[in-house]
Amino acid sequence: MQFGVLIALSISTPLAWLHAQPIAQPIAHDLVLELGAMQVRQPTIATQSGALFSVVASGVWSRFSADAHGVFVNTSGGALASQLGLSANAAIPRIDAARFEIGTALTSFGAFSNPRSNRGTQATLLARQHLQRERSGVFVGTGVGRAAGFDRQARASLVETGAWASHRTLTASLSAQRAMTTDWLLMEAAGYVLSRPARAYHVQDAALSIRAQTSLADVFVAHSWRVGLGATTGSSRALSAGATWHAATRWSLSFSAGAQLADIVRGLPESRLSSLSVRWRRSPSPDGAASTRDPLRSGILYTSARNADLGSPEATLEVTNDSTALRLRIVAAPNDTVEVAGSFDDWVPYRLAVDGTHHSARIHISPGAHRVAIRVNGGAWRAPRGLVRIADGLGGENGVLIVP
Amino acid sequence: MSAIPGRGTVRRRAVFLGLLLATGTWRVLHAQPARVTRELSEVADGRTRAMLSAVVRDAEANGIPLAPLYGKIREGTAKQSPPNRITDAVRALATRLATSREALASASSVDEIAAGAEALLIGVPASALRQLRQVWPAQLLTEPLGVVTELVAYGVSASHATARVRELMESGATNAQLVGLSTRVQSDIVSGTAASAAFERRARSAFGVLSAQQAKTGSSLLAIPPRPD
Repeated sequence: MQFGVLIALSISTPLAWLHAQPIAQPIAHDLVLELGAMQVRQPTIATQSGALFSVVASGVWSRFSADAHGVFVNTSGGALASQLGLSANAAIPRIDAARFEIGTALTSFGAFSNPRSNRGTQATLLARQHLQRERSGVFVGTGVGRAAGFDRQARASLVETGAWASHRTLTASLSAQRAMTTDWLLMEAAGYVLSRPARAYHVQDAALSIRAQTSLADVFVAHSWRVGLGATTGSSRALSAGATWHAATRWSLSFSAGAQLADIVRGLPESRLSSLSVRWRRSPSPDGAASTRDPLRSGILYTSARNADLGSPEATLEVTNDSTALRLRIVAAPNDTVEVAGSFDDWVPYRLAVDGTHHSARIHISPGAHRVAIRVNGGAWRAPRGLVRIADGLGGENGVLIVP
Repeated sequence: MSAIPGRGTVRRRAVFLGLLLATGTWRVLHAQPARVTRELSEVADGRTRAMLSAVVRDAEANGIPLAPLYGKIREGTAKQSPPNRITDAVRALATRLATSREALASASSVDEIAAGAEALLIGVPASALRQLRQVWPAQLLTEPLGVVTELVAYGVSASHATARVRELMESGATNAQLVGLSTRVQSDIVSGTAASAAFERRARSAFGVLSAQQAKTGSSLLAIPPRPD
């Protein structure tokens, strides 16, 4: 391979911020810029160092979020790599815990010295379906990739499944993936060979990662294992780690080092790399899972952001100078019966009015702490989305509402 | 010379007064049972009604506010919860109300004691309630306790939430500022930030705001900047 560049993919976790805070606007935008240096070593290429620059723009709507990213790497040898990508998250109607995630990227490799030669392009499409609650989730996904250039064409695909769980500051994730590729150059450089004639290389991967998030820093460790399947022989593993220090509200410093297995779908070669970068974020809010974004992990759908609650908020507070009202907006069929009850009305169930595809109500709330629950068609009482949930002592849960 | 009432008039007055007294006495004697009966009228199970009545009477005898207990009974019946769950919930609430009242001192309002009981339910220790009372001995703690409860529900540890809320209260934070802090923490958590990290970051921002306000008004600044746990 003429290029000795490994792209450090700045992948912003799709925020999937699918419900607004009770009093704020439902739309949010953010911009993250990252500038740094990296050193990469590949099996057949001499160690190279280079600079990286990335920009990620993200937008959040009530049931949808999307981000676009661009990553540019230039090595000391004059090689250039770039990636442009889009990813999005969408809530699944009527299934609170479901979220669909999709991403696409176009990766290009080349050399400044002769832009017309040694140029390869990889197009990737990935999709995941998530089911998640506040502190855990599972997902299944699939992806395809097409490579062109370097006097060859290749195709790749994968299926994956995984799960994650979090407790206080720690989040652990485990995933398994089965992939195939016709990119013999990529696989043989990684030490995999075909023991007999076959149409493609097949491998099985497993990956484990643990991340800790605090107000000062985020730290992660990730380990991957790979083994060949069928005619594909070979095995490998890779360990990487990194940390991000939140130096200020908008600024953070990231460091990562370790090994990365060859990325089957994106056509990135196996390598060892280290990087140090400075990140600036336009929004003053704390960086979420994206703060532990690992430049070694070339996944568009990297962290599958944990979301406490999906879907549009069902309960919001409307605060004026002299009063506060609870606005409820529940998605339900027009002939459904939606009721609300709470401590503000002595738990007398109150039926919401039908408003097109929603059932809604506006209830004046006096100052203090209140509990509220809703139910549909006489079913189980639950906390409306948008409010923090607390056990009711009766085997169920209520939404918490505090009015100053 | 005033008229002296005749014997018949006196007798009628005595009967009238006797009836009046008897009615009033009857009302006094049956006031508590009548109220308990009304609150429990929605509870279909007779045995559960009797058990709940006993719980309520015990609570009243111990000086525990009854409104939260009646609220829990109403909640249980509205949610059509099994009778045994309602009884267990009311009994547990009575215990928590007693603990909350003791921790917050007997001069607390009903809402404040109820807020303390909610905090105890979610795992906030009684010592935390006492700490907050020490900071605001004369101000109602209903909102601060509600904020601590919310934060713990989000996933922030009880000790962390109590410590920072206490420090913010000591720094002059208002109820509105505390509630706003909790709201912003919730939005950060939704975006993927760990609860404790989000809370610490927002609390620091709040300290910054309070420090600026104090500097503006000439009040003393915080001597020690907040540090994460």
